[in-house]
Amino acid sequence: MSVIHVESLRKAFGEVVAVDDLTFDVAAGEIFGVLGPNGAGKTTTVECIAGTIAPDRGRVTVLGADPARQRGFVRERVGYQLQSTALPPALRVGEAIELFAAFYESPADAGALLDLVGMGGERRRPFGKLSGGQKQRLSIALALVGQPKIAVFDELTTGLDPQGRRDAWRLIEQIRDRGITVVLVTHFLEEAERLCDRIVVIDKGRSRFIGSPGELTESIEPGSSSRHRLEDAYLRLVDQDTADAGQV
Amino acid sequence: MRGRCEMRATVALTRVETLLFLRNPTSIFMAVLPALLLLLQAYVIQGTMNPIGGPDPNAAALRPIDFFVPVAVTVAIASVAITNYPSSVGSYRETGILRRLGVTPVGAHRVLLAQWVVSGMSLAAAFLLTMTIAWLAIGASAPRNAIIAAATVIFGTIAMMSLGSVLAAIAPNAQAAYGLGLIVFMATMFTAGMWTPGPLMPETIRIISGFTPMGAMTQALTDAWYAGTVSLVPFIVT
Repeated sequence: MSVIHVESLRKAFGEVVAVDDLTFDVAAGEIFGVLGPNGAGKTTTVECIAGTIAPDRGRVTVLGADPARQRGFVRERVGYQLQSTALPPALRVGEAIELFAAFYESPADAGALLDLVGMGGERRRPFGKLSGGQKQRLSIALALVGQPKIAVFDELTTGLDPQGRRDAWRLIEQIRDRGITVVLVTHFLEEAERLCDRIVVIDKGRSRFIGSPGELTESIEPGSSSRHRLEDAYLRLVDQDTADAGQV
Repeated sequence: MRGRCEMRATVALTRVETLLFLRNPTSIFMAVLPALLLLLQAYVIQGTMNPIGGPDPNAAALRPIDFFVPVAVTVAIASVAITNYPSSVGSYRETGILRRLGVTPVGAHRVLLAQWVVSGMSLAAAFLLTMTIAWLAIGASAPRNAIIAAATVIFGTIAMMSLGSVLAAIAPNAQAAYGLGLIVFMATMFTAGMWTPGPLMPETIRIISGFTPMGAMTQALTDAWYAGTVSLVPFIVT
């Protein structure tokens, strides 16, 4: 059963076409990866799913509703972690989670949620004093506080150290185990390979591949013995000149 | 269900905004600054506490400091509305909080509502502090026409908050909002008569000042305070 349906999506900002003829489905209970080089249209796709921007053409359905029209319905049921959002530095962890809990009809227990993300002992710590990993774990908790059916994470692990990244991965798996569908926008192939059931690779606004990470490896590099087969396959898929070598 | 939830969200946002305001030394300083300036003028600058004298019996009993009381009230309101409020909103835009709130069921507009409530409360606190100092330390008289004075304060506040909203709308970040706010604040301090009280200004400048929100507000307040009558012009300006 699909919980997110994107069909022939197109969105342009002035002359720049961010997303063009994009089609994919996200099934209930899966971890779905959205991959692509910088500027490929990943965030625009997520914003169309969030209903913060309306598509020029095509259709986006989230849990059967149009996110641009039935905003209340969709926002009550979808939790978002947006790329690089900062809270006021003086706001404490406990205050932040309770504030966001007040926005939803049936919020999760704030204390239990902070324990889940490993922040139970940091309730009184101001946001400005948190480490990068702690900030991201708090943003995960904020995305989950409304007890969503779907959680969308936009570049959750960018800028985290290896330990922070591992912690975030474990957390995402726990979230999926609770029956929440996860949409994961990422630059990291290792992350996609480890977590995602299926991925879509977007380049220059168009979809280049939809399937499991294993299928991507097999479809393009049959029999290769390289240690980085998925990366090789991915780089062959997206234009070399647009892919930032350090951040694939 | 939705309505109760929105009420709860507004209360929670207002509570958080209040906490953040109390944790920000700059905001608090800007709110108490005018009252402190009033004290400074009364006790540091020579002669402000002595009656002006002169042939007009109505004006002769007044001291220069008395003209600064309406000014201080105006400046108290302006400093919250033109510096604190736009810089808070600017910082929210900068850090992406408005975007983040935009994807929650309550939306981003509600945080502005909370900002207005907190600005209103700090305005009221700044106003009361200024009045208390004026009364206790300077022995200022109460406004001769309290209703017009109150109306002026309310209209003036709305005008200043609107000006602050314009700044908040055009400033891309907190720094820009604060900088713009301070420039506008200094300019309005001049027209309000912080440096030279309205009645002592050269005629031309006084007339120009009368058509700026702060100048209009001070003139209306001064009239309400010491004459008990007020012309309509300042209200039209604000």
